[in-house]
Amino acid sequence: MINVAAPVLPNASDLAGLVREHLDDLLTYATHLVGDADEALEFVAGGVHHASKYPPSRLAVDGRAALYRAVTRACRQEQRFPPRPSGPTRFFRRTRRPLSADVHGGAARINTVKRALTLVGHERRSALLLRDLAGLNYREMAQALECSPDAAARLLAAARREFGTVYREIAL
Amino acid sequence: VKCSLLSLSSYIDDELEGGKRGELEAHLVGCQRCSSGLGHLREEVGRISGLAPVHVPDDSARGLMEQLGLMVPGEPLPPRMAPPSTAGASDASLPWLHGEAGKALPWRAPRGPLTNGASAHATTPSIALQGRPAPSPSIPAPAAPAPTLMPPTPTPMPPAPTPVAPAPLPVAPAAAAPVETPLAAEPPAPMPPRPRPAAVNSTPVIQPRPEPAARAEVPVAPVPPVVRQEPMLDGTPDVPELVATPRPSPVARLKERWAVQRALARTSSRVDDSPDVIIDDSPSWPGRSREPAAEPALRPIGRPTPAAGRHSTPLMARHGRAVEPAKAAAGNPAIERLRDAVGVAARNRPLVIFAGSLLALVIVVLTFGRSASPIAPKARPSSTTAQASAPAVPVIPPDGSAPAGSAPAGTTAVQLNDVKSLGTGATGMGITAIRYGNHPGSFFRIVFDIAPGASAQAGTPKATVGFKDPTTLWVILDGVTPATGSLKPADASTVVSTTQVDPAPAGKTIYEFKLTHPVTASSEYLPSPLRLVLDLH
Repeated sequence: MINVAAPVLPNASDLAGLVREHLDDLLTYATHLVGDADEALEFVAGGVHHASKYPPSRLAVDGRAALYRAVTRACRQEQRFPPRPSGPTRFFRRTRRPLSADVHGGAARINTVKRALTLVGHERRSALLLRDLAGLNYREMAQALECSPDAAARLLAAARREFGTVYREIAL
Repeated sequence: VKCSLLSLSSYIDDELEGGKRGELEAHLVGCQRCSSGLGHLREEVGRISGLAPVHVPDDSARGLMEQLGLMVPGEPLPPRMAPPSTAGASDASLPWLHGEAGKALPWRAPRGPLTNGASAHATTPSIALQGRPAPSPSIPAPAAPAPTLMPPTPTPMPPAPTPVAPAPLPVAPAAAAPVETPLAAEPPAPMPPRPRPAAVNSTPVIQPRPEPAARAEVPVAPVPPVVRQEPMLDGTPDVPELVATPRPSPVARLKERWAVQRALARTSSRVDDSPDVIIDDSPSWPGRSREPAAEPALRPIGRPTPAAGRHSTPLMARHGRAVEPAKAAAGNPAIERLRDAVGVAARNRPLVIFAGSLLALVIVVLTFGRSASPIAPKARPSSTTAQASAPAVPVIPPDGSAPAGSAPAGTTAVQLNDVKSLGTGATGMGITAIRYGNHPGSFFRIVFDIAPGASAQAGTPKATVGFKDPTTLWVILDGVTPATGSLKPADASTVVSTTQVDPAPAGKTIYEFKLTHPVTASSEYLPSPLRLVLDLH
């Protein structure tokens, strides 16, 4: 039997509530992923913008993973919101009101953990932060990283090993 | 069970199936290698989970969602989305759905600010605690929260190689419990940021990590002496509700960034400002803790200040000594200026790249632009005044498809310099011989012997003598048949070679003389017999 029913897309208020709920976590994740909170906020906004254009059909179940996937992709591909003007027009275009957020003092402080994180590859860093900082399980990690759960598990294990090696080299 | 990092990592994350998990636990009892590896993995998980959180204030969140089109201006912030039902088997594994945040990470606390029941962290524990009798608001809560404030039951951990505090540190769970009970009857009020209890100066205390359920159920009263907000041994800080800080102007931010760059360059030898591994040298705190040296300042994102970026502990990390030479170089003003210049260049990388490209383009244009000019240089006529009244420079297409004087399209016209024309234009004559050689008067003479034909007209044929280039002489004769047979071999003293240009325009005979050096030519006709004489000086 073919299901011809149109998919039920979530409305904007549901997505806004989901974004509101996970905004801090998303920004924390992106900040430690890219190393700069200003850029992270632009990437989070870019990811949410993308997710608002292409929302998941099951927002209640897959919403968080979809948001993390959008933010991860935005960080990897440098999709900002608002997009930065390029070319000569950037000298004449009025920029939008910049986004702002407050960062806990420790987030801006550079420490050994963050230095070690910057030396880990982008994908592995994403896996580390998604699991250990954001608390996603392997299934959600796989959705966010756009791979299979087994691949996510292997990536996470390799990331932990690399991070531990780098951290011990730096700290000791 | 296979000893693998993947198995251990999955075990830590509670992603192993039941059978494999039991096998691995049994294996860990006897395998020292896996036990130590598990300890390392737990350390790394703790380090990552101890990273500081970021909080977006409500007004900023509202502005963000307005820009994204998720809200209309003026609309209040939407309530946070309620967690979905946990009936699904796949959803049951989501730790954020049933209040067991970080089930595989029992030491991880919610990082968001404590608010009232509208937040997800506040709502989820109520699901977990539904079976318990709720305390009456009128009755002050006894020490009931104490059990929930106790640290979570530790999982069986193998001995970790991490150095711990030397003495058994007393756990102080009751430090927060008595002060929480009086405020337990005020649930509707927004919960203030939960400060850390004051640190006891005499005895080092390991602060237990409160359980999320307890933190959401029982409001916490603020304790006046707030000493620290950084992670304790659990590595997770509490996040105060931060107020929106006005964003500084771009100029101020630029100045601040430069100041930070300079400060960082001066203090580059001070390494390891890690807030989680700091040795405090105060006598009242002899042990090792994760307490920061200074309370972090609240400020806009992404703009580290030297004070916040570097802790004030005078001790330097062990690896800091490796960069001690850099510290000595930091006092050199020349190196300081160089560092500043490099820092400015690094910050303005696009500008530097653009300026470099522009400079390279200018250099290329100045170097090769003169030879590649699209404007052809004009042919300068010779300064021979005797020939100033000579006719215009003839244009002779070598293919002969068009008469002289008009170069057809697609052909290359030949321009002659220092052109001399002579003769009356008689036709019907032929060249019998071409002779040349050095004349005793120290000039070189070329002689064309011309014999009149059967239909020859009276007079002399029209001859045009010119230089194609300084060492190439062209002699053009109109209405004259060329000489038959081979030309005289070259005379290396002045003439290198003599060739007849073929094809030539109709009715013309062209001879080309390659010369060894530039010369000036004079020409004349000599009668009886008729000869064309060219003297090259």
